[in-house]
Amino acid sequence: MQSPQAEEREHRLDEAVLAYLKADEAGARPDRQAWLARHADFTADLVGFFADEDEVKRLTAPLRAVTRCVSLGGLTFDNQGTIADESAAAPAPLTQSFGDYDVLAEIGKGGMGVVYKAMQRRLKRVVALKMILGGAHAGASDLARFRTEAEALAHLQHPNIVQVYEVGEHDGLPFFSLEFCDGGSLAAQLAGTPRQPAEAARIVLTLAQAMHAAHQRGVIHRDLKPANVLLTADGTLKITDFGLAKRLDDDSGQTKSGAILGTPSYMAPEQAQGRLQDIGPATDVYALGAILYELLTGRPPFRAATALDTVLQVLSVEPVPPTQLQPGVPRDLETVCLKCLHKEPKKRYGSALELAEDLGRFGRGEPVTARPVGRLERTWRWCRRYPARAALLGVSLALLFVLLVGGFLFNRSLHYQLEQTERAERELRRALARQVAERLDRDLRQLATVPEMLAMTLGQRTDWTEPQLDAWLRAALVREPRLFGTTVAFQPYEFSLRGEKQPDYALYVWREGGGLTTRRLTPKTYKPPYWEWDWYSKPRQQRRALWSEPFVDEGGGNIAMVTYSVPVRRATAFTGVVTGDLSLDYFKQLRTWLKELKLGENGYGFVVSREGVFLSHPNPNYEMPLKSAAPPVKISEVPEFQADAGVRELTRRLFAETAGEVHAVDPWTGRPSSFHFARVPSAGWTFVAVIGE
Amino acid sequence: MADDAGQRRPGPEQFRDYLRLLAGLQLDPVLQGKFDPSDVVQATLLEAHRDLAQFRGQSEAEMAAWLRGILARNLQDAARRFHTGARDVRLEQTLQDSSGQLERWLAAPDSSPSEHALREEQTLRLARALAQLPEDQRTAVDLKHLQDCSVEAIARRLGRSEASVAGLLRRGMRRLREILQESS
Repeated sequence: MQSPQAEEREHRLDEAVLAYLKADEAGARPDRQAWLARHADFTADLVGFFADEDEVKRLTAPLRAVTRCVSLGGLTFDNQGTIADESAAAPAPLTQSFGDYDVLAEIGKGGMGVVYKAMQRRLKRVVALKMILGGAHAGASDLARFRTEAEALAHLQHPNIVQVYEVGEHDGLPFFSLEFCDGGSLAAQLAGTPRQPAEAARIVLTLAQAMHAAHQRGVIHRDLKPANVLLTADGTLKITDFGLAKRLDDDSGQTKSGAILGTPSYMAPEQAQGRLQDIGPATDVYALGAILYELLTGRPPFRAATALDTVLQVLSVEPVPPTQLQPGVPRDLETVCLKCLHKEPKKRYGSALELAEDLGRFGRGEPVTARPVGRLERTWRWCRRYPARAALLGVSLALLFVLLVGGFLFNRSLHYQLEQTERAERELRRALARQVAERLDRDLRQLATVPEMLAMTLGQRTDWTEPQLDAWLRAALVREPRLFGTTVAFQPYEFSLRGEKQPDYALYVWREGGGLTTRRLTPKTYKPPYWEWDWYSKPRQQRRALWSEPFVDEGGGNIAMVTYSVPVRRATAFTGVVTGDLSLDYFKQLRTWLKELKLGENGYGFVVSREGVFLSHPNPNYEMPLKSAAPPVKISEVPEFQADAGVRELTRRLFAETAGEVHAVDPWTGRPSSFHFARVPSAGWTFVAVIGE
Repeated sequence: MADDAGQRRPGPEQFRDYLRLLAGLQLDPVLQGKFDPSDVVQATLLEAHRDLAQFRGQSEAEMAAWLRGILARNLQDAARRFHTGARDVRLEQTLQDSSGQLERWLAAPDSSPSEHALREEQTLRLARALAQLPEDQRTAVDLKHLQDCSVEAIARRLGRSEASVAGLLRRGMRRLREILQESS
């Protein structure tokens, strides 16, 4: 518990936050500095709050854009324009010239930058001018990334890396000018057609040498891909777009959070998983391998319908060997390529230079140092890539394998697949029982609020009249159609009727024939008198609200029900009880709902109370509502149950544990089944899913 | 290698939070009171579980795509059931549009692949983190930041004072960031 002072402080802080949120909602764009100054005693909290809010807003922005469009529904209002406005506002409609530069044309727009073709007047040369996007909206992280790129490039001078001419600022926004390449990008040139193997090897050899130079200067590119390889008019390759580059010696990197940056088709697994400590030269070696793969086959090693799916493939699927897509690819070149694409960074080439050297050997017709993966490893990888085929093949080959080779690897793979499927099933069923229990719990809590509110209101005054009570109870039933009835019952002399204190008084309203009926429960007509029923006496004794066990309300018309009773307190004294009753309709609904759960062909679900009384069961002999005054059926009293040790175990554990699973023969179907159970916390009920095996 | 493989191939259950977030986003507010996104997700997972034997995919990627397909179909079924009475063509169209919108967003061709991957990854992480918040905090953050509701509307919905909603938001967002930081 918090001290009253701390609580008071929290409250004032929340008031301050509320005022801020209101101003923000009104579109006032509150000045945060001013706000902080006004609430000097909360500086640290408010700074934290602002930071949290910014982060959450940033994370939810793309999703919010979707919702906004959805909520305007069908009104042909498209948010595409809005998104574009917010995220891609170019720096103030760029003046035709500034500083030493005349802007000629816009070449392209990237994630955060815009690139212009421009003429540098003094030196009379054409340059590419890169500026940050977003104008005033540019976030700190964008600026940081932009500077990273400029700095990374400024460190590098290599014939195959785009040269930075100048880093500067215009109108407070950074820009830099680059060597202009007018031959387009490798991606544009490739366009899905494979290159000759020798040419592919030459291209990647050049890129690998350039990247080795970058690595030597401590720069990792991290976003190498054909689109980032430019060509000059004479066909020289130039690596560009170091926007994601990371300095090896700089660990204040702005991508500390592990957020995935980069392009998934060319992204190394360690990058896709955000394992920042593992990102190094080998990450670029992987990308070079991916480029080689695309040059050889016309497609990158992994490409799926969505980026997420691509990332998942990068993590878990082995690439298809290039020779399977392009039979003419030399075996050695394939080996080099697959070595680069190894999921383990350590198993790739140790450096871009080693890759370059191996490609050089290939070019000279010498044997490469890379070795194809061994047969065992290949079998294992094959099993992982095609579990279904592996399983099929297994039917015919498993015996042979087991007998001749010991079938160790294969067996393990098959076994693993089976185990995974079974585990997934079990997990899902267990989760299902919990889900159903949670759903029931939510329902019951909702139902409980009606009598709770009535009890609270009744406790505040003493002068209620009978018509008032009647109207209140009726209103409660209208408000909550799932309640069958509601009762208010008072302690002796706590209720006055026409000025006269009553020794007993209880009013009951319930649904009957499509309408509502009211009746006073007098000791003469309602037997035994109401104060002897559990629904009245238990909350009085235990001084708390509770769900009753199922009972048949003979005095109230032979109706089986379960009741939630809330004590009415005036000051702290117990003055009576308000109930909310569940009956007929509720249990009918419950049964239908459980039936609609897809529990498999032979599956079904049932619900028992705290004491093991059936509340819902597909067998009409057990379920609520019971037709007549027949006593409710307890799970432990069903004779079939006594016979089976497994089910006795279930009955025992149902009451001892809040969730679990038992395997036993279902006494009703005679089938071996698994029983998954979960407790409904508010009422103490237990839901059981029975699934035939 | 064995360990390597042991981490892959999760059950459909592991995508629950992600599916729930997507389902919640797809529902028009008009429909939101009528059916519970959790139920649609539950139905989706049950169906996936039932048909798991027929799932021919080999990777998590294929499982994710497969589950999304089932979810979209179930959402449309749900909408159709809801409209069996007085047909409301415009509303049905809305739902169609919104699922389309979401699909487009998931595969937005206009954004660069790196933005795209970032966005999907964030959604997945956000969904998992949101699911770990206490219920009231989650509802408040969800209504405020995903459904664009005002504090006043949230207070009415939760039956709480506006100041306590401000408190829920403040604590909820703080916790959310902590969870996200822990998980990264």
